[in-house]
Amino acid sequence: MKRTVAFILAGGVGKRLSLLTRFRAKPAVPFGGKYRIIDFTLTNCIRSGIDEVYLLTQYISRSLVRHIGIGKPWDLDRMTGGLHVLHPHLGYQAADWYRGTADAIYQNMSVLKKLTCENVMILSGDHVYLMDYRGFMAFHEEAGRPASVAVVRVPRSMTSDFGIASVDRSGNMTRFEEKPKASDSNLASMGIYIFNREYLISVLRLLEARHDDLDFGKHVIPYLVSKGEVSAYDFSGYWLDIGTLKSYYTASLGLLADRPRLKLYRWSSLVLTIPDDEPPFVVTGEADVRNSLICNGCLVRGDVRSSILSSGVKIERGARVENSILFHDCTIGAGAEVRNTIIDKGALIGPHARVGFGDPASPSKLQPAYLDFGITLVGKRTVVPGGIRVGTNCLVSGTLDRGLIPRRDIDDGEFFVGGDVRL
Amino acid sequence: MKILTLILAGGTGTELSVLTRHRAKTAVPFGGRYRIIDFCLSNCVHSGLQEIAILAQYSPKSLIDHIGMGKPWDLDRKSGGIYILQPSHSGEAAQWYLGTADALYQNIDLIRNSKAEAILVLSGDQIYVMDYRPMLQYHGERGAAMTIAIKKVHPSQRSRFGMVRCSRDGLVTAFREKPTESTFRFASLGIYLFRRDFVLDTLGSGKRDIVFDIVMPLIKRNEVAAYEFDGYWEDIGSVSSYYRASLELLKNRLLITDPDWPIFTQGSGLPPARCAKDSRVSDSIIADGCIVKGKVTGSILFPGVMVEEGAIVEDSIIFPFCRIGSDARVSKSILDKFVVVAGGASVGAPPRRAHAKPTADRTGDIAVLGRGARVSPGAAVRAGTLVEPQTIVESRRRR
Repeated sequence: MKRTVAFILAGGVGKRLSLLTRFRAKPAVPFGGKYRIIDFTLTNCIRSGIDEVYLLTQYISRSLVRHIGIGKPWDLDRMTGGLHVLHPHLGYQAADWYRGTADAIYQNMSVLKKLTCENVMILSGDHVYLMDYRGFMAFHEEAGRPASVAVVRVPRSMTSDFGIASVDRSGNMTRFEEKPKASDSNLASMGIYIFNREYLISVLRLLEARHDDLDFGKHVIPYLVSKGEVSAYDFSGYWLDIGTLKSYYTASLGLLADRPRLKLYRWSSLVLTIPDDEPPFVVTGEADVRNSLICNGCLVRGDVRSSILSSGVKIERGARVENSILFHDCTIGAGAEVRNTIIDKGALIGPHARVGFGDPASPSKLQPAYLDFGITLVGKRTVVPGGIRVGTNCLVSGTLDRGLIPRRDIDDGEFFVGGDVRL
Repeated sequence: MKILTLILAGGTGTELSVLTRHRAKTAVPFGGRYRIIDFCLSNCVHSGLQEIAILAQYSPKSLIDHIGMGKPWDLDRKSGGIYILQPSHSGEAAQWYLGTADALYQNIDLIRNSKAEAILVLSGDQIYVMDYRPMLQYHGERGAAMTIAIKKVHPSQRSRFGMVRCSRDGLVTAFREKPTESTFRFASLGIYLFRRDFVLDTLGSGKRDIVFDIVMPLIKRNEVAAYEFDGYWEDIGSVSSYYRASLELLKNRLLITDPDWPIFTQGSGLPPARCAKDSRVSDSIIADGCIVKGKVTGSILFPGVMVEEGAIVEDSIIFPFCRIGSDARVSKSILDKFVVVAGGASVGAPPRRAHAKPTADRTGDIAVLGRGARVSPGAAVRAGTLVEPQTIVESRRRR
């Protein structure tokens, strides 16, 4: 198979993830307790024999860059190839922030030109899936067209959320529409492309002159489809674009199903991530843990049901956590109850507080478009005072310096967001 | 003060029975995700020691795998770092390490070429938390040829250790190795700090043992200083002491959970531990990659252990990747890596009849199953039984 180099787009703002992406890039959002979203794509790369990876960052990249370091957990710390971070930069030629996915690649034209590989693969850093790209690469070579797009079948009701492709019998993409209101097809573009490198260079140059911003989904793929130069590769495995809070929450708790669609426990193809230095998880005599994922470093003295605990979480005596996702180093105080809640890193729920209880029918007053399905969000390092009640569809965040929020109940759909945590 | 640290890791560890059949004692798993040597290595790292040689010779593969380049301890360094030294020959006579002092002597070039002022000799098979820096400082101030670490032990334990008598000014005046009875209150912890020039002068062929051939003669010359240590220190001398020290972690977990003194080790790379719908886990330590569908209580589960529906694991230590089948019961047992207990089998149950044959082994009433042993469906391994690695235990039930 021809050598392929990957570019991972990891610069999106991810605004629809609300508080979770207020202080971190979307690819660095924790998933499944011990992983970050980017881990899946990086794992796929190295498993598929791609050992030269360029990561394009832009939005709050510190957490992301810190997570991937020199790429050691993915064996991408290499003499030749390996992992490189491409951040928007000032250069001799005009440079700017990345204005769209294809523009991000265009602005790194010098990298693209210097490569010697025949094909380049464009990936996204905010997808959760396990895929062997070798099948896709072989398909691309066989199909013989200069561009290939991986597509996946989505429910008909959801076609308006995706770029939808129509494909003829020979695998030629005949139509591509970004987020159509109605469509005959349910083949969604995964945002994963393989291009002939020389061809991509010429197309980017051509289109850059025509548009202010440049996006693969909006501009490049429709243009190539109109010229009949795109093949569609049908991927049948589990694939999820973490686009919204709801998809994040549902996909996370989906890991607790009897037979989860995402196979994390296959010893032969484990998802790779940075190792931790935490002791194994400790459960005391009074604890009761069921249907949950628990990471190293957790100390559980209370009840945990259908939840995901990242490393270093402490559940004190008499506390109860249900249908919730707790990020690293959270503490749930004695007797506190937490339900249907995502709690960001280092937050503390005071003793006997009740979080996430209420009527899911009243959407968030701050972000009704994202938060209307009955969960509550507690921001990074927020301290919820003991004894108060926080309803459902609530957004609660103190500031990073001083996390304490006022000692009063927060009703369904209400919010408290500290001064420098503008959403 | 620049220090060269040598960790003795060559013992056969026969006292740990089947647990050391295929691995060095220092590489025996401990505490849910660690190996015994991690405690010593973490002490070194926390004490700022950055040049460490491990002297190994018995089943070193497990140790070599575990240490790798020393990355988890940040010992993959350009200068110093960690390396494993096994007996080798220099074109002339070659032999195994004949004892602790001989192991040092065979590596005398390392000591000779080192710029260290002092040589710290440690045992890799002890579990303890110790900051070596105060001892190093004490040694520097005393200026003795040698300083040894000592600790007060209970009179009933004195026959297990090398016992030491000290003068009021901190000099060791007498040393008895494992005395049946002794009035000496301090045990030597096997932690020796030498002046480098002194080591070079003293080591030589025919001097095999650090205690008998080096420490004892030096005591006569009043050149051994004693440094008293009063923290946690455990020498795992038998399967039952291994079992006891392990399960003690359930009560005294600070040994592994102290945020100021983390124990460094290799990552397992496995997903988080998963407790299924009807799991019941309590009073246990559970490592990542475990899937618990049954009941686990008072136990330690290493990474990747599977406990099926209806299975019960109690008061047991389960090494990585064991599988406990549905409705099986494991009590008061140690299961080495890859042991499979099939559905309905039982391990560690007390014998049905009081006059059942007692096992004359050091494991007491703990059942120990060697690596890869398989207990067939419905079969029973009684309390205190020792099952050799890779053995298959069949069911004795008649049709």
